Amino acid sequence: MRPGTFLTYRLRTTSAVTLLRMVAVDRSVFPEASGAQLAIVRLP
Amino acid sequence: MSRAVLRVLLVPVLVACGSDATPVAPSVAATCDGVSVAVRTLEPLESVVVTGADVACVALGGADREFLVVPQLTGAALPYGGYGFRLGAPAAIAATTRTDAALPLFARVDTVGADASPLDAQARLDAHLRRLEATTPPPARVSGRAAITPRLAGATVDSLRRFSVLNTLAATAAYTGVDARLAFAGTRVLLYVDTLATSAFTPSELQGLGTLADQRLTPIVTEAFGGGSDLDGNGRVIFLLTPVVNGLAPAPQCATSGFVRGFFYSHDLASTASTSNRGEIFYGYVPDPAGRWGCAHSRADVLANLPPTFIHELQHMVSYGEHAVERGGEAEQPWLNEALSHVAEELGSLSYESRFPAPSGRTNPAQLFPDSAGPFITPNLLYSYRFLFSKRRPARAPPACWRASRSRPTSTACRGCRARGSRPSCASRAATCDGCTDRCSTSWVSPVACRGHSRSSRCRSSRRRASWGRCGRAPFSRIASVPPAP
Repeated sequence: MRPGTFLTYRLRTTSAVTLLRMVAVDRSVFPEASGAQLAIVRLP
Repeated sequence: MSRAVLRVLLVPVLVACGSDATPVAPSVAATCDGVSVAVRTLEPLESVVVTGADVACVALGGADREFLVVPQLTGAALPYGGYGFRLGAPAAIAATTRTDAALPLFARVDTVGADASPLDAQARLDAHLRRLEATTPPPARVSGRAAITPRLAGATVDSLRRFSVLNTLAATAAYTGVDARLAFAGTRVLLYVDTLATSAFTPSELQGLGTLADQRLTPIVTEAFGGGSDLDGNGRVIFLLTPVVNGLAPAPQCATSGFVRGFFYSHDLASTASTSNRGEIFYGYVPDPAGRWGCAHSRADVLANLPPTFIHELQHMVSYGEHAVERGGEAEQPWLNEALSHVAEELGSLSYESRFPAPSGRTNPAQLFPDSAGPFITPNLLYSYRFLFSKRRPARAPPACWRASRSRPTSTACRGCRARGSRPSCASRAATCDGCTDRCSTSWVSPVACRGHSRSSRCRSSRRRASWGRCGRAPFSRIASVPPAP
């Protein structure tokens, strides 16, 4: 994925609370300057 | 194209974790890595964008709900590069948070921005070459052939040949003379390596690359698109690896505007000038870990990205050969030519998907595509999304339009409206058509999961595989740093 592009995935939850993480390859938290963001929309 | 995915500089990892506990009333807070985070409960079609450190852990409320999850690196702070995605399940997040200063990877660059969306070097070269093909008169078939001596028909391994290689992305062509040694001679492909880069590959890597191009990739293209031309009469395609290709986008430009992985140049078939090599040639870049000729490229990256680049450019070569050389006609329309090259990449992926049915050939048995298909399919997915979410669309259309392109009004009134030829808008949650308003249906099928096979059992099973929900589950993985199997 290049900066500015998107990928889209489907997520189906199976429990009352689902934790979703977006981290770097070494599992560290993205630095603020990376502009990492996670957009989520619930499907009907 | 680009398409070929660059080295994975950074791999964001999405993890869906949850317990198998019996559903309970919505929680207001959840604990994530020892920290309490608010549970986000979304209504159908409601969306949220999580930014900053919050992306490290998002808590979604409700069981048996379906979401579209769109990870994004918003770009302005990142150097140019490809960022492969893997959906996996790391056990935990590292205790320390990296700082910008500690991670040069995130050093700010000035020219890359999500809004600018400039074509990268490969795309610019492709567009230029396709326009050139479309505007150049077709070669005089008879005289062109008569001027060619089939000098490579008897080429033997280790023999040398001099080539003229395009060395600029500028509109005015310029060339560099290259001496290259024949490293592999197959029945369909002759693989040459620039004598300045003979140490860039090991002999076994060259054999593997030559075999892959000769035995697997070339037949895929010729069976689907035709045999193309054989102007030099050697019955084979020349695959030339040279650092001149690396130098098409020299450092530091390549750090911000990308680089060229390879190309087909119709000048070799259309011209009898001294700068034409007068034959079917694909030019490819070479490993350059030290960044001697441009941006640094590891051997693994190059070996992973050359095959999809080759199959893409080979379609262009066949197209031009069939249209202009063999039939004396005009070159294919650039847009369709490009589209067909993407189809060629898709065919490359399908070849490996067929060879490695799940779960074989996968680093993670649960991943959707086999490792070898990754380099072929990943660029297509990236570019399809790039198109769908192009910044050229009306301002503020995303994220509401995540579903718009596949959405259709569902009411009878709107269906009738559509039947009359109107195109109702689904730019927001409601579609308006001749005064009727309807809620957009979200029949979107994620190309990542289903790739256009939404009605097939394969798709349905893929979608099931793409459902998350339990810790440790990794639905699929797409990393394009693994060279395809021969």
